[in-house]
Amino acid sequence: MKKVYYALIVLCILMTQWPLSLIGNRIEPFVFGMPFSISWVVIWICIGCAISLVAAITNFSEKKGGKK
Amino acid sequence: MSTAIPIIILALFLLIPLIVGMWAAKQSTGTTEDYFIQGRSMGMIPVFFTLAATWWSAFAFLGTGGDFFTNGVGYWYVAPLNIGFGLLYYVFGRKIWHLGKNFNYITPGDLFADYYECKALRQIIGVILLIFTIPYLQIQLVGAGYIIETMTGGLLPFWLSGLIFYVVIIFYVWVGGLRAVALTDVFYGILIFAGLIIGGLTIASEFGGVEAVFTQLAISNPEWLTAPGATGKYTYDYIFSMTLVMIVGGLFGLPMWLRMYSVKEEKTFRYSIAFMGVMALGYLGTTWAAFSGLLDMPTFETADNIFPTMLLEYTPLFLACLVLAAAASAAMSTANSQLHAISTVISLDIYKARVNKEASQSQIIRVGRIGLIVFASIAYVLALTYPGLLVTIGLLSIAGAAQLLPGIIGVLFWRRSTKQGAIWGTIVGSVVVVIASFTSLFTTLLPAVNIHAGLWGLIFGSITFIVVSLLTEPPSQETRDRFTNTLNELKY
Repeated sequence: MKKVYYALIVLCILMTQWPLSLIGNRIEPFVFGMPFSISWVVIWICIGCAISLVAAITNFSEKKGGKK
Repeated sequence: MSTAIPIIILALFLLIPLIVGMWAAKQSTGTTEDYFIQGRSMGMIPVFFTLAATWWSAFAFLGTGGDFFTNGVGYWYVAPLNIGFGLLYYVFGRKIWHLGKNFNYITPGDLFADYYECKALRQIIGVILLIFTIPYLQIQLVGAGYIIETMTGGLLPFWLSGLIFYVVIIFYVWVGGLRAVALTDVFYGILIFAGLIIGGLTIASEFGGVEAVFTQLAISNPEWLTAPGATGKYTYDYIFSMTLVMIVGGLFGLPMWLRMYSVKEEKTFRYSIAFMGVMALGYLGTTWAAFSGLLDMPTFETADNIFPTMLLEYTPLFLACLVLAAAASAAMSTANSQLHAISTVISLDIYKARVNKEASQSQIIRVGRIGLIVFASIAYVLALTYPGLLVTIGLLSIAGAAQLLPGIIGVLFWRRSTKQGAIWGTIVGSVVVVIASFTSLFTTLLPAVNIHAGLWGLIFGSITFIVVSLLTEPPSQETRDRFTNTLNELKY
């Protein structure tokens, strides 16, 4: 499960990198009062934060195996 | 401009860290571990804010504002690096923290020297990090000096602003060590985030609000609103390489190492990803301010000053001064961490490891404090001599720190790595960074590739690290087992 979280968090960063960033790299539509190019990044940062927060709260959905 | 308000705000802004520093000094136990890494007992909130405040340098207000103003939105595509930084802080930082706790590491050199069984590596890593940290320290001083000079309408000239700035930092780092740095960083961190957002929003509201600013720019300056931007700087390969280098270089810069060792609880690493991601949103304020500036004064020449200039032009003096104090905080919170980290390396990796192996705890701390003053003075002289180049120098420093990556991967993940591989990988990477930054060699040879100097360094450094490691002998089986077993304790 940890790897799934890693993959999702990395995906949020990759969404703002080529070629996926091509989807967001335009002026219209305006979202949050800003060009889509900025909103696109803001949206993925927010999604990345939300996923990271769930991962942190659930300890990456993994049970403790070894001793700490 | 009235000078009373700026002076009062400035005095308060300088006084609060001094009080915090004195309080921190009272909590001190007088040991080296306490002075340099707060006795490995730093709580989650101070860790988060000291990470964020150290990361936000003068660049957050000045360099980034100038970059948006000149090049357009391109830097936003690099901003998710905060999430990458948090993720790496979790994946690498947690392991480094665990090793540090088990084997009593305080400096980055401790880790390298122990695993690779090579005492010289301690100094090689220490010196490389010192060399790349000093210019970064210098630009913080330049940034703070300019901000305070602007804030007081020239009443406090650049040289005096810088001097006051340093005296305050030296005082509280001197008395309180990392505890003082981290606690003042909580104050600074909150001030910076609030300053960025409130400053940007207030400026944009003078032009009808954020949406109105961008609607007008979509007509007058559309090329600023998409990558690669007005100057063509932010091509996709440049964005990718810059993101990667800043994630790695940010994490392995000297002050961040101490912020891995000093952590009290493991959960701090888990929550850091989300926290650092949220902090990236602070750049929205810089964006709003810079683009309002582009609309209002498109021919403004000193782009790095667009945020402070717009503040003083369009917001009430009291608010402008508060936000400018936040901007100076960004510089100060980076400089304090760097000075503290430099003194750590000087006293432990050089003085204790080479000069006086029997040094007592108080002798080590004393040398650390002397190092603090010496390096602050060097950076001060450099700032007076070369007062400029915010972005270029900052990125060079980060790119340099990134060159530690192959050696760290060797310690944490690759048991075939060797000390020769780590030494040559780091040296080759660092030299390539300098060559790629100051010459046109790579752009001449490969004109179609526009990647950051730090990535060139990482490519050549990693190849060297792998090839040399495969040709030489790894550390003893005992050491490799010791590290593997200790790291396995963390697997869950």
